[in-house]
Amino acid sequence: MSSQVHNRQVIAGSFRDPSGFLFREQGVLYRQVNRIYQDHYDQLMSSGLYDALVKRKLLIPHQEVDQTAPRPDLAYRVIRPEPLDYLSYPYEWCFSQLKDAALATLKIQKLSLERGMTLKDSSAYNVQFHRGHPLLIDSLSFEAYQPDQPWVAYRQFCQHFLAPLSLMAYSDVRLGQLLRVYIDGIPLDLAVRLLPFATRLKLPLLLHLHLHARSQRRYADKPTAQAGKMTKAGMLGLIDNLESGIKGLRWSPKDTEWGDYYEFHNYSPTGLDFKERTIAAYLERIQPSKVWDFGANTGKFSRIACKMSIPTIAYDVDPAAVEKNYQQCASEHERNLLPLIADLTNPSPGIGWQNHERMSLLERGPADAVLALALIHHLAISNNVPLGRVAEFFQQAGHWLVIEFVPKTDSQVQRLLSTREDIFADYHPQGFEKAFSDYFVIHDHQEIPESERCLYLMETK
Amino acid sequence: MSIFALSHASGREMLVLIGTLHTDLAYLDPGSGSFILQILLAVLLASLLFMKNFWRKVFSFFKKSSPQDQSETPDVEEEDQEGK
Repeated sequence: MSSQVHNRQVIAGSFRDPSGFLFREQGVLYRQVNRIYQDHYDQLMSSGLYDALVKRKLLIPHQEVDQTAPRPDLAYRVIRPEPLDYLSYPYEWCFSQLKDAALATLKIQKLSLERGMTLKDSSAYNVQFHRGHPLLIDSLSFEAYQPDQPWVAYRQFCQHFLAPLSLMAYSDVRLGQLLRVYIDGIPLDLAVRLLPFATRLKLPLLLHLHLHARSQRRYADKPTAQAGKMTKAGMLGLIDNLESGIKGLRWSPKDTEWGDYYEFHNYSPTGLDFKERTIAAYLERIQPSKVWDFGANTGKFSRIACKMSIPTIAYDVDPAAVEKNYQQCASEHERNLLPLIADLTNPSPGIGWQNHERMSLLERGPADAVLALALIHHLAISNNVPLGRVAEFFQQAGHWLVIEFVPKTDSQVQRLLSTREDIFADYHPQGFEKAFSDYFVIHDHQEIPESERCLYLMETK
Repeated sequence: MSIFALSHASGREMLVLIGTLHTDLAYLDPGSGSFILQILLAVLLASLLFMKNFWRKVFSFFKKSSPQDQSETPDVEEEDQEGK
């Protein structure tokens, strides 16, 4: 994911903006600020904008350091941003995460304009969820505001935020996955083809999506528009209208077919209590510094790790489950839990330039501990992955593994097998233990009372 | 070339101008259509914001604070006042 410059690793996704770049040295992340950006950087720091944004948890704090710059011929400063626990990408966010990131971006733009600056880009990739808050991680995204100039990042904002959020709210929440295909946001001509007519009746969507797409088509090679000034009042009006448009977009899991499906489980109260206590005991025993919970659902068991102050990522394939989880995180101010959308049968790949601009899911690991609770049957039976290959994946993902085996006699597995032929001869506790023993040492296993399920604690060989 | 020249530029000249803006930091293509649309919408959107603020002031004159106002996320300007 990085290239070498003078024995330092330059971060692969940090190459477009000539203002500077990120590099890593001895495991610490730094950002070189180039001389070309000197005036803008100084204005950010001296205008009070940096302090205002950091105070509101909208911008990653940084320190100026004496670190030698990888490109001293270009360098003005080297800064060390506060480290992030995890990098996530817009196509892994639920609706409300993308909406909160959009509103944070607009709030930053408003604050910037108040202090004579403006955002020169508005990429959703520049926002990360850090300790429960969406915040801008690119300290070089600002430039001096030039009176009468339109917002240079307007197109990017509409493509990265307004178009996908509108598609998720009005067409289908799964269309957020288009962001994985279109790394610079969803093309507006495509977005408006997929949006229903009702979106033309909403002024912000009419202006910033439908007319915007038409304007792009009309002026792509026909420069016939009347020129004019974009006053600051116009700029503020634009930002306010975008904000109204984003705030007006809503999507709720209650409106979907999933309903209360996620409240359903087949444990007795005793079994559920035992499962929770066993997971907590395993985590106490291994003391992981970070946990990935695969198939986390709405995060019931992720919260065991979260409450032990362990940074935890709760992955689930279902955007409704992730939405519910995120809303609970937001309402309860949970700083250590980050819910994300991930389909383990097709996890986030490395995308962008040379496939290295955005990291694959596994590149962002390994975690210290992986939780895989009531998940194995979805991978081995629904997706036909041999148990050995499932074990291999978990070994790549983390050092410790807390995994629950769900046998064929369990009602959930019976449900999966009811519509297909049972071709899974090795899918039984002995077959499971044999397959996983090739990759893990099994330290402990506990049968869940009043259930046929079993919990295992394993360590990578 | 000064950005102020935009106000006097024809459409064709304007596209040339767009290409020469931010010569040092213009790593992002603003898109001609996106650029021009903002200019065309500026008066409308500025007016809408003016009206919104006007009605907000009228509303707050008659009703100092409503429960709905309190539940909304405070504006940047309001937060700024709190921050000072």
